[in-house]
Amino acid sequence: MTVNHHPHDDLLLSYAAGSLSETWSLAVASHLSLCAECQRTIELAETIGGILFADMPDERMSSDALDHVLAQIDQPSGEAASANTRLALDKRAAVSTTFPRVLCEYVGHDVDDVPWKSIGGEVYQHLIKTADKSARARLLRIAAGKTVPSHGHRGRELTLVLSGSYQDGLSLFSAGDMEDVDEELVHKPIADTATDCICLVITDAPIKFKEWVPRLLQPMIGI
Amino acid sequence: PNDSPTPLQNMEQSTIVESVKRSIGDLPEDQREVVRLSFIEGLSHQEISDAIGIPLGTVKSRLRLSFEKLRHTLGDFQ
Repeated sequence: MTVNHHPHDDLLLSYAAGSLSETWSLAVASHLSLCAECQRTIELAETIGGILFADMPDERMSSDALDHVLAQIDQPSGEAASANTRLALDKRAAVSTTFPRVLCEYVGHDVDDVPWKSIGGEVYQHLIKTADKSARARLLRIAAGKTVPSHGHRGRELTLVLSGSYQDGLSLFSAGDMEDVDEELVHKPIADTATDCICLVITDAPIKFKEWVPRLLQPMIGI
Repeated sequence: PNDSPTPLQNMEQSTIVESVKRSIGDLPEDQREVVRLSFIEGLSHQEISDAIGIPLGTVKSRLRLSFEKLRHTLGDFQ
């Protein structure tokens, strides 16, 4: 799978630092399980983090801290110190899943038995519970060829394509791609005509729909 | 299997560490600060924004800019 769209560096840096909250981390961890390039970026960020720690005043560090940092450079990622809300990528071979494994653990289902709820216009969603209330996570399923109503954001929105694809303006997003959008953008994604498009969507503020009808529905559908 | 590093490997690793430390030192103070607050203090973007009183967008752009530079330094050793 060729991944062409990635989260911005500030998100990856915070993830590597362990300072990204649970809901955003779920999206990044899911993308990482599909994207070797971003895995390498995380390894770079961890190396930087290790060097930052090693450079700190002595009283906060143990005497073999530098050895630990050097060991990190040789063996990145798997042995990196996990911090606060960092979700561990499960690399053990186990039951294979279609969704990234970390996502299956949160949703409690794989792609074939998600309990979808219709939110109108052949768009379905499944809200994902996380302990972190600073952002909302949901699975979205858009029927082939359908358009998500035009909307702007009051915050950041991450969309990870799990299957199918969608067009947003001039860009095509397909499986593994992550669209990372800040609040200035107003957009209207259109699902590819061949298959349904299933995405993991994280938002940090209620979405502002441009049309009248969707805005009325918002409290009911939890956006 | 990874036996104890050769003298050459040790030298290479020290060079990497020194290069990155230098690049961190060369960052503008405002960029270095957000990187430090992320890694050392574990602050989220919002927490950094609140802690030092800058807009969220500024936190993001400083993190992106600093990472761009640091990655470039490390990239020389890939």
